[in-house]
Amino acid sequence: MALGFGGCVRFDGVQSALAPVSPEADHVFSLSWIMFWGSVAILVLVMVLGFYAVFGRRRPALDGNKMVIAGGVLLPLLALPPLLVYALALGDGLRAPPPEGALRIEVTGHQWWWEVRYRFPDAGDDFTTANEIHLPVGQAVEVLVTSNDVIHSFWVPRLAGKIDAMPGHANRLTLKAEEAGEFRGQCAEFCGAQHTHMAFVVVAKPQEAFEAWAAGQRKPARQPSSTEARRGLAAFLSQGCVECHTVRGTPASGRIGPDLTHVGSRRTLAAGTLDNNSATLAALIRDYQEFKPGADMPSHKDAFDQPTAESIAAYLEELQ
Amino acid sequence: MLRRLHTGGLIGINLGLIVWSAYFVLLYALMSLGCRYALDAMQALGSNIITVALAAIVITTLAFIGYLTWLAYDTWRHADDNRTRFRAAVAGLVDGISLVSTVWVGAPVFMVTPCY
Amino acid sequence: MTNADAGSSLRERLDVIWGAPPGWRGRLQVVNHTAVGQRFIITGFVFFLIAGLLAMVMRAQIAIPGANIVDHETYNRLFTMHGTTMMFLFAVPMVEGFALYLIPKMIGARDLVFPRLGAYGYWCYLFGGLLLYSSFLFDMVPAGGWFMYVPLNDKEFAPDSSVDFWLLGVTFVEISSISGAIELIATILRARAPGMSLRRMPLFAWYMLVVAFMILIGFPPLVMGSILLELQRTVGLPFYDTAAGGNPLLWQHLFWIFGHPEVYIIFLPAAGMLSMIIPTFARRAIVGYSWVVLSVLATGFISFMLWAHHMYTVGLPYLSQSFFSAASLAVVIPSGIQIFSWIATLWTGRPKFEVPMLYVFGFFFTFVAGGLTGVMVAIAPFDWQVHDTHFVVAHLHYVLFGGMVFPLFAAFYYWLPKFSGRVPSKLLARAAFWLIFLGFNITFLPMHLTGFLGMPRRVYTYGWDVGWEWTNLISTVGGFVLTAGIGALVADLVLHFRYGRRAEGDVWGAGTLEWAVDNPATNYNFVSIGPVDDSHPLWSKPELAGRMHRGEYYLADTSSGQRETLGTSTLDGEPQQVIILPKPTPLPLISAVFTAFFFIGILSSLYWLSAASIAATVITMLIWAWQNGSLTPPKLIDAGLGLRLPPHYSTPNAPGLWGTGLTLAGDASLFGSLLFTYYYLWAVWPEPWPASGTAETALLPASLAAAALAASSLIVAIARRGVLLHIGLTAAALLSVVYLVLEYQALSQMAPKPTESAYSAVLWTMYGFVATHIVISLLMNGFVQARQWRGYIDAQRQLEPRVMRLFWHGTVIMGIATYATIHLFAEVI
Repeated sequence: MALGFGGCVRFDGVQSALAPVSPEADHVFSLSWIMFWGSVAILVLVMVLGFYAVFGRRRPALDGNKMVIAGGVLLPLLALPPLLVYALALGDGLRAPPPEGALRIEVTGHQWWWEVRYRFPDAGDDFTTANEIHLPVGQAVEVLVTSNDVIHSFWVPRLAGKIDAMPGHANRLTLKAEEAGEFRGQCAEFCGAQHTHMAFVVVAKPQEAFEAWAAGQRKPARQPSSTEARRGLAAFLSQGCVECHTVRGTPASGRIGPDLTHVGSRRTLAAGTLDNNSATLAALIRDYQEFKPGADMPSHKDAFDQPTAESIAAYLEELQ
Repeated sequence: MLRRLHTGGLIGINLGLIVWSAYFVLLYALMSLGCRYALDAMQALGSNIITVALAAIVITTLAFIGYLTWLAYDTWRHADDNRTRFRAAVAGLVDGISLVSTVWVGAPVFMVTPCY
Repeated sequence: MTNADAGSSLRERLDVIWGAPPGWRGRLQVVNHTAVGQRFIITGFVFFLIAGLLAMVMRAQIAIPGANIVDHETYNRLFTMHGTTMMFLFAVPMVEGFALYLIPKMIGARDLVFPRLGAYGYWCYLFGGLLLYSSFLFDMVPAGGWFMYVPLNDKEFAPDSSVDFWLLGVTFVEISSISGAIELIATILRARAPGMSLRRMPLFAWYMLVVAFMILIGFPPLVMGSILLELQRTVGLPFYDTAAGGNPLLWQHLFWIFGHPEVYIIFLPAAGMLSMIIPTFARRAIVGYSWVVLSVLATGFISFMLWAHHMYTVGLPYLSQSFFSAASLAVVIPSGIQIFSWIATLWTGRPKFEVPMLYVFGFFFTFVAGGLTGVMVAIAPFDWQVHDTHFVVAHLHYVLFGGMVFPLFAAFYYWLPKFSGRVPSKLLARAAFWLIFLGFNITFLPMHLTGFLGMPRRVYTYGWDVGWEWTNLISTVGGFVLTAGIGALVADLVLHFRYGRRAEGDVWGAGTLEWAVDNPATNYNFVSIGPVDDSHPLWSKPELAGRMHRGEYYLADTSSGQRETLGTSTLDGEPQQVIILPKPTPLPLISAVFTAFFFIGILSSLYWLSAASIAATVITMLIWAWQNGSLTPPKLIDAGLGLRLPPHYSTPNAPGLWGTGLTLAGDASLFGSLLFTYYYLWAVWPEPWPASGTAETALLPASLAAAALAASSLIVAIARRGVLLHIGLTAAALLSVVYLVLEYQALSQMAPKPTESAYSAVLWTMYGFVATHIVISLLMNGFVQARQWRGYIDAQRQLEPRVMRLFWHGTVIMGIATYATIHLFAEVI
């Protein structure tokens, strides 16, 4: 099942709706197969009748009107109501509100990255991160999706269908991962120049691991340990990065770009576009426009040199 | 009067679908307004008031289009010229598909919780 | 003189009467439907080729991960222009052009009833398309996707003029679509051959009748949406701006209320072509004529109740989504009826397999597959997964290419003898078909899977890690096969003009009237218009075509030197009048040029240019209207076979009156979209609705204004003759000005600043809408008074006052509805 087309196409990709890991995605996956085979049957029926009507040698003499009624009226009247009833029940269940006390995550779409805010019963426990969502396995999580600018669409195919991020209004989605793993998500509503590079990662892990991760995220940023990282912090604070980015525990408190307090712990950079390592980080800091032309983050090619970019990267890399 | 309207001209033969369209818009608009004012919290006849109101509309519309269908059928049966027969036939078929569409579009009212 | 001689000398005279003036000047003045229809078809096909090439660049870019053939900006422009061109500049003008070309021939008319409107429509289409494509010259090509969602395409996120190019270009083209629709409806209902009652009408005419009504009602919501967005972009009326109480979903509603019927506006004409082609090759009449008529009517209505199935993911309550799901399933029934009616026709007929039938089978496979994936995406939980992915891209191409392009190519081959007088080759035609069919399916079948694997639409590149490389590569290869097929088709069509065998008469043995027209078609179609008593008159009366050619039926008398066709009754096709049609004139071109400058003025912020152009357009159209009707008292016309009929302008149901009524229907849809905007904003407004508190003080002037308007209608209805007409119309004009002044005062109290909120904006837009209509009504008022003064209006010649009265009442109804909404409703709430 995992491979098709003579082994070329993997059905279980990181972003494949054909590899469901949640009840919702699984229901829709089963429904897809039912509809697929039903459709194949109907298509074959129509084509066989069509060919036979033209090329059939001894066609049985049928009453044309009866054929119209049978195929055009009775067939849909028999095939579609069960589908409708199934879909109504399925959708009603999927759209039901999550259980009381479910973990709540607020996701805000920006051109072109995702802001992720975790909300806990005690507001002091809240924290903000970006482009990466961690979930406890086996628990329903309420995700409230909105937008800071244009319309985006929040979609993690292996977990659920998509929901649009509308400015001025929050939409709700319930996510429930049945197994641990990393699942890719991507913006699905065209949102401008870098719509293509507006992805994110969902990490599902056991409850204890999730809580450990959350505890780590709540902490302010750690102090730089190496000389280079200390130089990087100084450059970070003096080169205007703080206008847009927040690093909790430092004077950096900008809200325009992603929160970088624990950026070193993230799997990807530039909203799910690139792997997170210090070389990529340095290259992005030096010339973000090279990778994501049109994004708000300017190129710093003329502002500072490569060693400065590397020192900032070294600092950020330490922010685990 | 209704019979002549229904089988007499180009607009009239579409009466079933016209009623169905009005019905569809009414269901959609009433539900949206009901949810806007959170009327689903109010109860009536053992269900929430939005569902009850929409169900009443579904049943009324079904009855009316059913009546139209009978009118068209009756005209078709007794028509003595081909032109009337043709118009009554089309009108009756239009009513038939309107009936089916009314049932299908009405089904969610009885199966889906309004407002989320 | 023998009959045959009489026929040929008649032809010579008809050639003179119906001919265009010589040279290129003559070509610019052509109004005849055959020429205008051909221009639509050829222009549409050129746009199809351009848009196809844009798609090939896109397919090359995403053939493999990380390709760098075009940058992100170019890619976004490519898919925006591809979709826009295919939908607005190819599909709709193409099917309308086909209908403009074919309908008169099929229903036994010599021309459409408003030939100048058809010519004006063509120029609007051409200029609108050129305006849109001129954005390439200024490097301001629209890049926001063909459905132009806000806020992405608002000034804040799209500051340059690219979106304005789109909004203005598309609206300009829509003028053409709407005028074509008005013309088709009036022609189908008023100019059929004697005896062609509704049940004998060729099915294509039924399809186009419904489609034209759908265009008339379905296009105005997008026109209004575009006007509102343009107002937001240029003068800052914040209809879609959340911060000012507006709502971006309002755009989506208006867009898709247009956009879903649009899909059927494209599909139904193609289905209509199939319903003509299949019976011919099955050599029998269609099975279940009434069932097919039912299907067309049902599709027309139901398609208006499907719009939100493009909006399943925006966060509507599941119950609303379910209404649209259910309606989307209901529309399967009429489609199924048509499919099985075609199959049953072939089954019970004696089918022969010619080139058009290849495309018919291409259609069967592709369209049914697209319809079935359509059922899938109608199911909301399924759509939440595949919406905005390549699955949907595949689905819509199956539906549109399958449902429209395959039938269109069948129609090309089928009706080609009418264009060229020749029959195309079989060999090249078959090769082209197989390349197109296989290329199409290789492109789009794997694309369903690409979508399932998670690829969103409109991404210009992707990585190796997501597993989309193979299906994309296959799709690209298929795309180039498809392109080769289109190339072969073009070659075949071009070559056949030179090498094709001569087509004689009824090439395929068809039964409908267009096959009684010469190959290639003459400008006047029929030497005389024959009576019809069957749905396939050429089958039931094989001698009919010959007798029509010899001038043995109606309107064979050319002594008046006028272009004439028969006006018949709507239901039964009884001859009622002779419709006298205009000769070639440059007026349509001139007014279209001025209209173009109106749009150019807005685009370049030269508002004086727009104002001057609109004045010039109005003056041109007034000249155009002045030439209508007769400057001398009407006389009965000898229509042949002993029938004496009045000229159309002396009858109470002249086509012009129908045209006005239909224009008002489209206008009502435009106004309805504005009312929808008001009530939608009210429904989503955070409390309290701003009208509360202000409505009361404004109620008195507003009520007086409404009373003045209502009184003007009453006076217009009563004052009909002589001096009374002058006095009455002058009084009505004054009352309408009183309305404008009083209502202005009322609104100034309620919403002093139009840009302050979406609420103020909609109030003033409604006022502007009614005011514009009053200005037009006043022009008509003056026009009628001028004609009365010159003595061109008498007991027999009442067309102009009738038209004016109808429009006046329509305006007043909109004014009263505005009053009821802005003032009474706000007071009640």
